[in-house]
Amino acid sequence: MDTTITGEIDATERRPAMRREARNEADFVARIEQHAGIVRKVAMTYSRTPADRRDLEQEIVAQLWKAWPGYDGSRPFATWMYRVALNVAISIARSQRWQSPEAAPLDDEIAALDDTAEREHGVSELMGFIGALDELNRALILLYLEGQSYAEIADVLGISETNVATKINRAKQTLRARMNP
Amino acid sequence: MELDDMKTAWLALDRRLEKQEALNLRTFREGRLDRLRASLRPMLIGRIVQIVMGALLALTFAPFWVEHLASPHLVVIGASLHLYSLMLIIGGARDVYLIRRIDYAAPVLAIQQQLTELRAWVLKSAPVFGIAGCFIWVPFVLWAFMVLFGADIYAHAPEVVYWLLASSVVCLVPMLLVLRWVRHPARSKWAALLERSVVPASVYKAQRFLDEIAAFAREG
Repeated sequence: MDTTITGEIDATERRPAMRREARNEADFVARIEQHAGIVRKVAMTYSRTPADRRDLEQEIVAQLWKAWPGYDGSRPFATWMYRVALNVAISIARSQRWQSPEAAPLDDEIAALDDTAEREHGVSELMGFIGALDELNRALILLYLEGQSYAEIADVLGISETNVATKINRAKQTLRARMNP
Repeated sequence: MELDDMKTAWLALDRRLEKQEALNLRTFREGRLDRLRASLRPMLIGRIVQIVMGALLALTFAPFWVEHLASPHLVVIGASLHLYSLMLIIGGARDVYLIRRIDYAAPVLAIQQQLTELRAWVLKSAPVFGIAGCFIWVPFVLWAFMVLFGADIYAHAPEVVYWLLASSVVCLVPMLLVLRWVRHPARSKWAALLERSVVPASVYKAQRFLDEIAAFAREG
């Protein structure tokens, strides 16, 4: 009898918790879908092959879910997402570089996307430029191309705004030198 | 082409990729997150097992030397095994601390530094356990004979113990050579070649990345 009552109470108590959990999960999925571009672009920037890119996307989503309980709702969701996604991508890219130290070109499948329309937009040049950068500078340029402000880039990377400005200027000079040898 | 012009290319690239495939949240929705690769999880489990093993061994060896305080050599045997157990616990606890403090939502440079420090610590602590491992089997054998058969080998045939220790030195010498290369990375071509062949290259690579992070944070 006691067991039945306890079981019923447990089930009743569990239901609101389960509903909260389901809402929490639905909220998470909705936000991730809304910002799916962040996951896609970070994975694209740090992958060597299409399979790597898909694995990296899954790993980023997994780490986002793990970090989700600690997300401070008063802070911008995109900034939090960039931090997690970039940390995961850089860590995996580093460990792959340790195992296979040759230069890491961007995803082959993305290279195949460089059709006439993209060529006009300079996709090849963009890929060549990003592919030649180390992991930390890739993160910096990705955030810049995403239109993030210097303050937001500084917040994601954990460096000063002055440092961000200096590095962006240097990247611009490097690109100019690369385009006009 | 300027960096700002590349923003157009960046958007074109993303649009193309977006059309090709949506972000796959199926694995997440099906509740299969546990199956996803979590790079640090195996290490964390390994270290927890190491701590538990260390604690069990410490509980086994501590009473041995306490019970034989009158025999200095038995105290040395028991205490060295006890010390090794404590090393396992401390080494494992530090790894767990380093793994647990990693919060991927923190700024990129801070986390990359923590991850690289973890990697460097793991690789640097490995030789310490390697050196201890060269010797620890000797007191273990002496302890086992004492506990299982009541035979005090050192008391009856100390030369056996000396031979066992001498064989440990055979293991230790190449280990010390490796450590020498680690501590004094000679810059000559041949020394560097030998270094790369005997020292886990990741130690240097981890350190190099720490230097890169420091340089990235410093420039401004």
